[in-house]
Amino acid sequence: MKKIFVLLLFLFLAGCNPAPHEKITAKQFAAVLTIQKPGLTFVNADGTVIAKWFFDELYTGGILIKDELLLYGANLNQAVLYSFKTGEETARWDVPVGITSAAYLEKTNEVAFSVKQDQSVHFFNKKGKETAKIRTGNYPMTMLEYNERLYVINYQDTVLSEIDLHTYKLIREFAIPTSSTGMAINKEKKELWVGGHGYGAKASESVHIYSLESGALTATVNAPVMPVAFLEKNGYMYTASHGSNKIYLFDAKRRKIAEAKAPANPFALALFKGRLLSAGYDNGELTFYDNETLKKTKSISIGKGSFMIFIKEGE
Amino acid sequence: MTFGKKLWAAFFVFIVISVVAAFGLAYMLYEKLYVESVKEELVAAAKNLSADYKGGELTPEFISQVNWFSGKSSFEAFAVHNPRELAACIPYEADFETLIGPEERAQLLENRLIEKTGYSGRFNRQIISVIYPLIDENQLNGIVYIYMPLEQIDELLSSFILFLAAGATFLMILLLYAGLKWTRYVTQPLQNMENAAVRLSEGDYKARVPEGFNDELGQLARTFNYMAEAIEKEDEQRRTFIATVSHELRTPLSYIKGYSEAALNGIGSIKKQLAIIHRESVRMERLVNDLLELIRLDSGTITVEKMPLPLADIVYGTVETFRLKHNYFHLDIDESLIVSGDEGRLSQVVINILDNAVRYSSTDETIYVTLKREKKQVKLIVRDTGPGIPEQEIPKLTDRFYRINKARTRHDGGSGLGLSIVKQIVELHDGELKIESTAGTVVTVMLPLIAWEEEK
Repeated sequence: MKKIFVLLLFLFLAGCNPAPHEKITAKQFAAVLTIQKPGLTFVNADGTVIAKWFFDELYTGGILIKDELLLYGANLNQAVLYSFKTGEETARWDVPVGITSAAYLEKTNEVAFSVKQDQSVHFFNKKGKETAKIRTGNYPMTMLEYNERLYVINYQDTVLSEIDLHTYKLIREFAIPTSSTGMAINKEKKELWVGGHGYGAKASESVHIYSLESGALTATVNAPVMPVAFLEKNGYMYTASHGSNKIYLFDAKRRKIAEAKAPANPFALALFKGRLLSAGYDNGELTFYDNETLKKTKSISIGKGSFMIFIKEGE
Repeated sequence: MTFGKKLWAAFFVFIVISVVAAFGLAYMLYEKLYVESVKEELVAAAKNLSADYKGGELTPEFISQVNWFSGKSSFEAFAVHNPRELAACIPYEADFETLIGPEERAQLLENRLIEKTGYSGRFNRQIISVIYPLIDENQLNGIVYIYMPLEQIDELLSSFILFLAAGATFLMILLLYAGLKWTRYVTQPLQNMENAAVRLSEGDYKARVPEGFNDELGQLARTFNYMAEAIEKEDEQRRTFIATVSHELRTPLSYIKGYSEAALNGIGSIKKQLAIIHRESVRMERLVNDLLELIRLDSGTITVEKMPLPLADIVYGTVETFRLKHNYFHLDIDESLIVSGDEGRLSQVVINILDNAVRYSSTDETIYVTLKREKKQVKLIVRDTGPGIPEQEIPKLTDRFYRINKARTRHDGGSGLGLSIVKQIVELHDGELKIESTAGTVVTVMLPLIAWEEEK
């Protein structure tokens, strides 16, 4: 009886403290979050897998906070902070259920969570305590911090909310198409690029570009089909269109200067050591491209359900 | 409820269940087989259509080709390349019902086709469908969706249902009619037997049932007939017995009555008349005693007190008493033999046998009496040189009141019960009575020996 009790206690304790993941000693790596079989795959600049983490909980997204990664799940009521260096959990935050995305706000050293259930953005401090909350449109989903403002795409709504990071007040709303999903800001041109899936069965084929100053739609560019992932670098804009499995590169004048075939159903883009990375949700491939020509340089298999890419490029 | 009705009711239930089950099964099989075959055709058509897909984006030609097929064939078919419809936006929530779900997309991505039967919300009807993936370089570029509404199959089936129902009804009526006939056929012998049993109980011992076939019921009928025969025979024996007893008693009575009247009227010699009256009285007494004895033996109430007996003593003693009536006895007696028996009863056995031998022998003929041992048995053999008995009469000798020569009945003075009694007593002693006849008669009584010396 005593032995059984000890065994049960051991199992209980073991359940409470999951074995730490493999330590990530590399200073520079790309980590791909897969959500079909929940896990993280760490890849170095050569395209070699250096480590794999697997999770029991289904994390649907995450954000980098310095040397740590904060992971959240749409159906989880806790967000978990992992240290790359130790491979261990460092904190658990109690969060609302229904998180659709998160953003690290460097200026205020806070984390914003968009929550589908209460149609709000919740602000948490570095200790994991909620400090403020603001109601947005229907189904807030994608967030981007720029110039002490937080831009929030409302997925099932036709507005994009602009929030002041210090006052937590809604400053403006942009009229955007419904089912918009991805965005990026061209800092030089002060433009906000917004793309999405489309309405109903009609797939979206273009990117809507708004002036950050006036908030008006200034242009659209063609990027079929369903441009959902965006990445900006030095005035150049990369987009990934998951409906047609395409990656496009636009210059500062919004001209399409390159395009390439993406891995099947791409949802994520990242720049890492002069290479563009894109992960295919359907085929589980991570493909490396030359960041100027979009020439494919390498492709590796990392597992189906690749959804996000986190980049760590050293101190 | 009669047995026949119960049988018929059971048969009825059985038939109904069987027919319903059989038709239900046939219906199910039909539907399943038909649906399966439709599915196979759908798959084949989807494969054929997909064979024209050359990779890359779906061309308008390919799409219109699929549409052309849809127009010409009994199936509905279309090609889809809209990634929205193909659930490409998973894991993002879709704001409309996509043509395929996440699981289906995963299956199609593995280049496995999908077969479905059931309700489709998109088409708002029951359908059988096959979805065939169009995959190029691990990308799901489109699908060929081909389906057939289930109503078409049901319509087809409903036309058959009438035939099925009519067939089932006809078959059921046919089987029930046959069942009625069969039930009658099965219960008729039982009915016959019941009637015969009633007749038997009312005293009609001639009642018999038709024996029918060589099955259990036929066997039962035969057994019933044997029983009826036995009862009839027994009844006949009883009547004969009573008649015989009456007759046997009436004869001495008429002597006694006649001679006593003669004596009273002073006709003839009184002494002679008294002698006859006495002789007939003795005969009556003996007859009555024998009857009583036999009835006791029959009813099983008689007790046999067995003890070790030297059988030789009984034989010697009995022979001595018969020397008054008969002159010549030849004795060959093994005096050492011991049997287990009742002295009185065994004496009666020896008396009855010797009495018969003496009665049917002339006084100057020798009667041979042998007592010897044979294996584990004692054999008492009494042989006379009298007229003998016809072979066919031998089995009847132990019947009551049986006499070989009926004419000699009263002259011989026997009751006709002697050997019956002998047989009963011998059997009570686990022995056996054997009668043989060639010129004379040999009566052998075999009894188990209880003390003997081992043969050297």
